[in-house]
Amino acid sequence: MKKFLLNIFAFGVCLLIADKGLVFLRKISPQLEVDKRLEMIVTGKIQSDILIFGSSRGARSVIASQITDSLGRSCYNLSYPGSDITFHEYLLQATLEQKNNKKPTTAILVVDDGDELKTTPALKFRYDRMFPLVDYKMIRDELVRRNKKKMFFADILIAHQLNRSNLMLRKKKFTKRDSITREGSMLIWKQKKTFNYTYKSEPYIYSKQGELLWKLKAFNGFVKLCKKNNIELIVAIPPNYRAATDGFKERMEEQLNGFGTVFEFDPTIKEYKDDNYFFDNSHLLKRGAHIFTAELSGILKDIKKVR
Amino acid sequence: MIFNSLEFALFLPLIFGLYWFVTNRNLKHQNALLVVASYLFYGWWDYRFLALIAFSSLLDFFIGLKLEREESKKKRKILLTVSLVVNLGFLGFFKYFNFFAESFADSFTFFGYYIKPTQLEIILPVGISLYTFQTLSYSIDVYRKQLKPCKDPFAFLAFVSFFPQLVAGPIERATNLLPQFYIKRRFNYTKATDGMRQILWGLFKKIVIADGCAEYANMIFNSPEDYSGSMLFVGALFFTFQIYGDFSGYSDIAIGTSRLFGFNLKKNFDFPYFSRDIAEFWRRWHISLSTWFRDYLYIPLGGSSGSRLIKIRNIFIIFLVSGFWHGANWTFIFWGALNAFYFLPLLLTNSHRKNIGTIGKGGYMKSIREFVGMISTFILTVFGWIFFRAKDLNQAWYIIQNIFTKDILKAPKLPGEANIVICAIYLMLIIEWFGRENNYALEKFGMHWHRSLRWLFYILIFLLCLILMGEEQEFIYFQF
Repeated sequence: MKKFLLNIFAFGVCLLIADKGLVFLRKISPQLEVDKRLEMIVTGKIQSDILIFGSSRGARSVIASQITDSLGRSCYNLSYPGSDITFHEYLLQATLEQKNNKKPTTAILVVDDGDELKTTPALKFRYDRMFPLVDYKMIRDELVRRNKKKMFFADILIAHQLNRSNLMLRKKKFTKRDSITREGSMLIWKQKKTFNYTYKSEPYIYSKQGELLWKLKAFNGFVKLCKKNNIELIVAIPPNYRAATDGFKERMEEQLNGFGTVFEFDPTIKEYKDDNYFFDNSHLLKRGAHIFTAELSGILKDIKKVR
Repeated sequence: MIFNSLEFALFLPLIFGLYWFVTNRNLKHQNALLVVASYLFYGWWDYRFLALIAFSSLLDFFIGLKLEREESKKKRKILLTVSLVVNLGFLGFFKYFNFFAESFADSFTFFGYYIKPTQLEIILPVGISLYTFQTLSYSIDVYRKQLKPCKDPFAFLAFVSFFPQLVAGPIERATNLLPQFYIKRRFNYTKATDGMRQILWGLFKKIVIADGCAEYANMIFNSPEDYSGSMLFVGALFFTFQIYGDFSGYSDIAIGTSRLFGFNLKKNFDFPYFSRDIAEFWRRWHISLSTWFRDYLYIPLGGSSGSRLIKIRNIFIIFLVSGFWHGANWTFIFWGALNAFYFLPLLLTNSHRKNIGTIGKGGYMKSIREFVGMISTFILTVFGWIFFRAKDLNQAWYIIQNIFTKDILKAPKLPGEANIVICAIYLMLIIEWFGRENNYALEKFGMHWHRSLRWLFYILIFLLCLILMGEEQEFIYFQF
């Protein structure tokens, strides 16, 4: 038994020594990333007045630089394709937690018409964006909080802080579709090959049925963060290549409960029914994003005037 | 509590310490500690079902004692029937009630009548199929006078609830495991280190292979309509390795843990993906269940003796029951039937016992034919697993139909990180290939290396497990 226990102890010591050698993986991973926006949040480099949150619809449909030019206030886009409201809430929370970031005066939450609070398999919490940044304690703590890593192991073993993505030692590259502008927007120029050109003018009727409690909670959490930090909130609904969902705007207003503004695209703008302005059925091309951003800028100006 | 959890990482050394340092002088104390530890282990998941396992155990314990005293054939039969009815009754209620209610209602819908099925919100007790079969094997063996009944209640309770194999097997036979509870266990260094090695290999298969593959298998099986034929096939391949890593990994951890406590459990997997035909595959996959069905169902039915028709009937019965044992869903039944069809040609040509020994024993493969046999058997099992994994038969058909299109020639588009899992699968296959003549792959792997090099290898495996360990993923076989 003594020999067995000694061997276990010796093995444990060797394991701990080898584990410390993995620190280089933790250090190198952030350098291999090309999308630096989350790292900017955790290192306190977000210095804009207006921040945009959303999924790919936020990333593709709002041109942050256009808002900056139009309003004379700095604007940055923190929308991540494939992300859901829980991730948007986390991004805002992290931005506010890291004290070196400038506290935004306005947050624009770009929502998915009709689907924001419902099941959307393509949208999730983007852990894959977090794992390469485990060198930052703030990220590690969040992964533990979200049960992706065990606190006990993550505290003593570097190996357990890491993930599969940290073993990918190649520098990541942008695809043509996913290049990021200096202000964080991810605009697209070329239409998708499989785009379905039939415009559906019959609107869907929004129903609360199928809303997910945890998404509602995250949405309310986002609103609460804005309220608590005195941040003007704009919930923006960009166009799809179909009629807007009937009752969705009202549902968003109901959820805001008098705080902030819900802004829906103007359905009378004829370009929103022209497929030349769309990448696919739910994303605008750059020329479409230009029109939607102009509308959004107008609203922001109006709000400022009223204030 | 699951093996790949922090709770178990603390539980195991604690029980190990108490077992060898506090209760080591007295057999009764050793057994009592194992009962307490096992009930704690099981109750961690849901304490309410402890009563169920305790009831089943005590019932069979007393039936065993009664069977010994009873000489009348008729009364002995009644006692066995009580054990069978109660144990299978629990299993039937918890596992199959909703399935039968739904199927009954569906059959009326077929004739144009609508009946609303009575569905109950039943929680399936973890591992009920496994411990039920284990305790049943005891009653049957005592009835057949192949085993003397146990007279020590602690030993019997410990046998039924022995925590390493309680929730996902191997399904131990009373004849093998129960006598081990009658003898005081003494610490054995070789056995313990061997156990640790097997636990490490089991963790690798579970965390690195099974959980890694699960991510991509789930992604593809959850929305197959989004993927091309080649991706659907890749999804099926991922599930093939997921289920193997998950289940054989669990068995390795269970056997390894048992060895730490001085017990020897039976081998449950014998490198099944290196089988040269389906019959060999079934001799190597979930051995404890296959042999259970063989001894308590197939042989009593007549086995492979008798007329050709009887043989076919027996094969279908055993595979259909095996499929149904896995779950209350038509997909499992179809999976069982498909395997019966795979098996049938071998049985009818009397070649089902052609490949008995290990493939390429003592060296390399003997012929191209063996290699072709191995690959074709593997592909047949991959298609079988599609039914096992699909949510219903329609989805399984959809996947198979779409695999057999020209899309199969398109290169699958997988996320870059999937390459890490694919590399891990290759590593597992290489190690398993070299260790295929042993009890488990890592048993003698690297034993001739210098100790420092061997330890470095173990440390690498351990670090890989830690890196890839995320949220605790339950073992697939818990649901059975």
